Amino acid sequence: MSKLFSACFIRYMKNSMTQSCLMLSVVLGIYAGYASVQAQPGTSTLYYLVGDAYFLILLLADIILATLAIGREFSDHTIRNKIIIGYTKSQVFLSELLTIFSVTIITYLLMILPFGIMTVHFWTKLPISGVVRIVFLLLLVYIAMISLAAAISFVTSDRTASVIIAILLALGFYLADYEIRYVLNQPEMLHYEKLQYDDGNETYRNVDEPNPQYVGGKKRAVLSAINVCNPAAAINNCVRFTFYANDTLAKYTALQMQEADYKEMNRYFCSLCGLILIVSLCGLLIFQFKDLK
Amino acid sequence: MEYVLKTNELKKEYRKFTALNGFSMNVPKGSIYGFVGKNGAGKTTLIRLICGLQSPTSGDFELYGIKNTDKNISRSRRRMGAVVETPSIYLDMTAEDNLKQQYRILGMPSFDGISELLKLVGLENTGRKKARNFSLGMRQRLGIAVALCGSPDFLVLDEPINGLDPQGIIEIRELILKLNRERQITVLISSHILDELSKLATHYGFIDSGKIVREMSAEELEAACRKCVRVSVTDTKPLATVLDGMGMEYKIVDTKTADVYGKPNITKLTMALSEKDCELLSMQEQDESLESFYISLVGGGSHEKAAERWF
Repeated sequence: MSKLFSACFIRYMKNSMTQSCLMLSVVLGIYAGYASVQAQPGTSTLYYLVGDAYFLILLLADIILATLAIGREFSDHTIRNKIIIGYTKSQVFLSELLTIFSVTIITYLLMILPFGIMTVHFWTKLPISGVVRIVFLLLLVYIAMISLAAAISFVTSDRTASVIIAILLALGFYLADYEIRYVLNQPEMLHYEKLQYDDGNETYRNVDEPNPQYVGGKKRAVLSAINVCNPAAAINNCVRFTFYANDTLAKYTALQMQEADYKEMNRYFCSLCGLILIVSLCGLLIFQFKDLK
Repeated sequence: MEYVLKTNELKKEYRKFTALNGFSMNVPKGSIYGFVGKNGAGKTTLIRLICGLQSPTSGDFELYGIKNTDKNISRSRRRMGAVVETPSIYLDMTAEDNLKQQYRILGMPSFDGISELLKLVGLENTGRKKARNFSLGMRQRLGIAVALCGSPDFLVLDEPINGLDPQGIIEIRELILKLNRERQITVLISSHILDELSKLATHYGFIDSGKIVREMSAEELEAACRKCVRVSVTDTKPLATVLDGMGMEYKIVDTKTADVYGKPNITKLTMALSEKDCELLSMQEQDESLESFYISLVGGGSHEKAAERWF
């Protein structure tokens, strides 16, 4: 299988689409770093949004690369060449998967390195274990999304359909995270001041009443579980952790929040590893039983 | 006789359709096996099964003596190359790059032999031209070159001359003959263009509705498609009586025509027919073509009935 993997990898590297993706990664990394540094003074909120958007652009670029490259193998019928000469479907699937994972890791590193170098003054404010966790967690998000895109490509065997489905899924994850976090972040009780008239005088009374938008019980547990499995939620978790580098925003002691966030990051590590494994296995099984033309 | 491929009651069912229904055939080593059948007969389905692209619903096959269910079947597949329907080539690569990529997939230690392969298929002068800019004939030849990369001794070609111009057909035919004669490569070639196959094949397998109707060698086919004299008369009933009396083998084509095998004495025949008030209209010597032999095997009746309904 190593021969098949190296043949796939060389083909990817020679492909102009891959080369464009690699260049895009470097450009995104440099520009994200530049934009972050530029936005930092007095606009710390904008800084984090900028970083998030660039990671999303690279993720979408990698998804398009994965689906188009694998889809091309089906449209050119070169997948069947490998099976005709004796490779099993599992070997073909795994070699393609490992190749696209390798390319994803390279594009990620090409983005993260210049970005990290240009914003080094920011990262040194965070504990090193947190930084390492963020870097690996973000990489795991990429690999999880790419494994989904690859599985979709093998199942559909259609370039166009797989690109559309994979991109919609990625954007769907982001949307789902925003919606679920909005619901989960609702406070249980609403505190506000109510104007009342007392003997002709206007007074304000503190009112505490249950928030109708608060979701509790089993529903809350389900939403939390869904969000733990959501790769986009992992990205936002990483972004939130970086808030503690900015002293003006921190409302808690950095040490207390680190522990809570490390636990959450560990949950994301486990859920993302599980997602990669399950998606890859499902894709492999479906491909095994698929009749090829 | 040694067989490269033996299939045993192969069956392949899709949801509502049975493509192969108890298919058994044997491809002798060193032969060019012409696989003949109409569209939808099951030719491509069989090729997909033996190439490992799909699994049979039931039955099995042996490739170089190894069963398809054996885990060592991959070793047998290393000895074969195939072009299934359309050539499997990277359209964004040149001819040379396509072969290099196939060499890498095969794990071959060097790229020696690529230039000879390109010369063999007549693509040595394509240079930096990408495969997407090749003509259909060039793509077919590149597909064959890719299939030849691992020096296989069994080549499977699924309708390789489809869509080719006459020059392209000649080139592919000569290439196949060259590979069989010079490299002793066994070739399984499927086609519905019978005349072309008759110039190539040493063995034939006629397939219809997912089953082998007949397997025969080229010599047996030649004997079957034998010469006859087509006799036109005013009524074939007295003709049949006369020919029975003369001990001649014949086949009645319609009420006024019959094919007589052998060489009838024309004078005796004419006199015998005139005694029975039957006039001899014409006599014409002819060979039964592969086409008519094929129709007689698989039956042209369904098509004639359809044509009658239409008109």
